[in-house]
Amino acid sequence: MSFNDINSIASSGMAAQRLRVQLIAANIANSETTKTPEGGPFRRKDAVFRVMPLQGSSSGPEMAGVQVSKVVSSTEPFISKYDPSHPDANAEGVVLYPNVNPVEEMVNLTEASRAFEANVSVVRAARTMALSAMDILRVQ
Amino acid sequence: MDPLQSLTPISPLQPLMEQGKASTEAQGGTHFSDLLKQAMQEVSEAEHSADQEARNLMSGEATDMHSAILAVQKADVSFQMMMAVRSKLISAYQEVMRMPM
Amino acid sequence: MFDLISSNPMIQAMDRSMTLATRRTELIASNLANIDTPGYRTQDFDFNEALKTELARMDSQQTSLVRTHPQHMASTPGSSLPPTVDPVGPAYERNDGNDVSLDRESMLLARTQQNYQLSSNFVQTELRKITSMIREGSR
Repeated sequence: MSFNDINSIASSGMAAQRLRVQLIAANIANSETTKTPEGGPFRRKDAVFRVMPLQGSSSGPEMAGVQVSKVVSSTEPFISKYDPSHPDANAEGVVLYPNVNPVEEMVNLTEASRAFEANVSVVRAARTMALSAMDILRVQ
Repeated sequence: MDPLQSLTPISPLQPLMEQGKASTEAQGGTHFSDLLKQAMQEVSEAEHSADQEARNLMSGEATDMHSAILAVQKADVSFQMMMAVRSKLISAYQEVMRMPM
Repeated sequence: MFDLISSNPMIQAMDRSMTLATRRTELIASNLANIDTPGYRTQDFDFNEALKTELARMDSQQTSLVRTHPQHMASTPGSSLPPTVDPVGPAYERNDGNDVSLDRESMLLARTQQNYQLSSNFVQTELRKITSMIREGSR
């Protein structure tokens, strides 16, 4: 049934955006983390989205959900600050801070939550439409 | 209204027509069968109009929802009126047939 | 003779309308799910034109009471769903090559849903009339 397909697509969108929000939350939480287990400051993480074709759909290749194909660490340069008294300062007294821009993260967060809500509205619309169709059965 | 005619006995209205003629001709009023014919004509026109309005609404030709909705309701009401007239005619005919001659 | 639904123009027209509305909703769902997918382009079709074409085709086929296709109510024999195009184009394209507009899709979703519900309500009215006709006509 096409409403099932629609719901699958929408829920894949919700899952992808939710993961994105988790990554953003981690970025913000770690924006001051100067030392990680891998060594060096925290690197900003982002999700890479790819089209996910529906399995067993009869409606053709245009209908597709989304998936997170991988999580990438940003290769942007770290932010340097001169602070010799910091425990993680290097030989020149410079501390490297994560390449996280909190303002940018907040903007991404807003976008991700708007996209999430949009997928929710698709589920709601599909439900309303299915109920409308089922009402036809109720005619006495 | 082809589907209607395939379901309902229209022919018993023929003798009613003669009765109607006899009783109303003096007053020069309309015949019973003409009433039903007129009602069916109205229904047919109203339905056609409603179909067209609904199509226009769905395909974006018309932007007002209310005119299509009112047209559909109008067709529905015309239909119910027609059924009521038909019921009255049938029961009048049946009453006439019951009269001892 | 007994198939009062296949010969009912209102129900047939609304059936076409609901099929196209469902199709459009599928595309909108795909667009919104992929709003952040790099390189993804908006998919849509001209609903009004597609419906008018379908209705014209339906009218010219008249009433053929022989239905052999098992999916009669879902899609008519010989009809195909319209191809998708990208109506938004480069105007909305962002850095990642994605051109899906959240506002546009949300607006279309609401409109399509309403369209579908209206069609369904028109069908219900017709069915009520048909059933009352059958009931009254058998008295």
